[in-house]
Amino acid sequence: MSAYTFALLLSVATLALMVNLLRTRRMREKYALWWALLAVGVILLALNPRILEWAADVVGIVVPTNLLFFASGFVLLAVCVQFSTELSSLEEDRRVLCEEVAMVRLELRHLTERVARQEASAGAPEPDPHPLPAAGGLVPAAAPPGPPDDLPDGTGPART
Amino acid sequence: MPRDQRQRVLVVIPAWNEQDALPGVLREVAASDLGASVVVVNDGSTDDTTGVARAAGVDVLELPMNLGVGGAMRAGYRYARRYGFDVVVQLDADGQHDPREVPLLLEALDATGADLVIGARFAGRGDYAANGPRRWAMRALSVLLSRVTRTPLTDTTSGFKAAGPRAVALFATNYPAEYLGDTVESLVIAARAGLRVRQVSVEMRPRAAGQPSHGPLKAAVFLVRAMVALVMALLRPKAAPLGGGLT
Repeated sequence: MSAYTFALLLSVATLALMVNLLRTRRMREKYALWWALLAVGVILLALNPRILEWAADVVGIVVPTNLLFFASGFVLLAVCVQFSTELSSLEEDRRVLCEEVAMVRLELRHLTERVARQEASAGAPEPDPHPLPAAGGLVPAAAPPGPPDDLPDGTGPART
Repeated sequence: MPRDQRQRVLVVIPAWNEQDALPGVLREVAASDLGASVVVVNDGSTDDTTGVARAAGVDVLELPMNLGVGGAMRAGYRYARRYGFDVVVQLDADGQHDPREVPLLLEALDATGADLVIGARFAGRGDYAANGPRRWAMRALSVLLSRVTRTPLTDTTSGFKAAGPRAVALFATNYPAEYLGDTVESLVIAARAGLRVRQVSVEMRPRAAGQPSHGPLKAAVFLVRAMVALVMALLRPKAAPLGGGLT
């Protein structure tokens, strides 16, 4: 088996893996781009090695394999940069979600306290058809001291 | 100039594992009768920060994970926007900032027409002193940021700040979580969005609990990171116009 056949088999296998990952939705298309380009490039080179010699000549690289090493390094760099930017945008998304969760939790707390107060003032509460789990401290033992909430919806912060 | 009583003021206290110092700070805030609402942003603490704040009758925004001071503050600004607060005062949970000086900041907001007022430690009052390389780093930052904001600033890393309505709107959508983003970069963002930045001098006390970071090596690292933060902040595209985006 020649080195070209070996490279051809390997890159065809890579391409098949990419397609399969995309097909089964285990990888999104934007991440496959660089790998797919790489696989297609290697297939072309394996089919016609003269392309590499021609390309090396065009960019002024004497030993064609050096162009190959350089190109592979560059593709890896591009993939890493893409991952870094995707990670950063994921972190920003995560940050927004954290803020939302914190605010929703506080609103839920205010509402729960308000319901508890109303039930307390209305006498014995009717049995709750959908009781909240006791764990997690959603229902406080007693409402914290302080004036009533000053927002119309009653979910706003208490003034101190 | 008398304070506009119609303005709703929110004191945001970012807290990360501050169960020891926080109760004292909250007591002082309550005692200084600011006429303001208070919210503690629990920045993913592993101690009972939320519990001690609730025990003091204060609302707590519980971030599910640690986002840093910048992250905690943006949560506070967004909370302020959502509930219609006009002014946000940032107060540290470690007791360094005296809540009785909050009115100084609020008065400066009104009197100077500023959008952002910094409580500065080196402006003549108090006995706070940083020394050695850290002080040089802070000096350098002050000189550079004074140029950027077109106003003399002596303490740009202070976490004692008051933000007016325009600054609250800007910071609710645009407050960096990166290192020094809550101090250096937020000032650059404010200045480049056309906000007026001013400072007033405040007294700074030693923190009530917890360890400050010291050492020449740390100071050098601080200087380098501060300069990187500043340069990157200046290179970034300008903040999006006010009003749009997140609420």
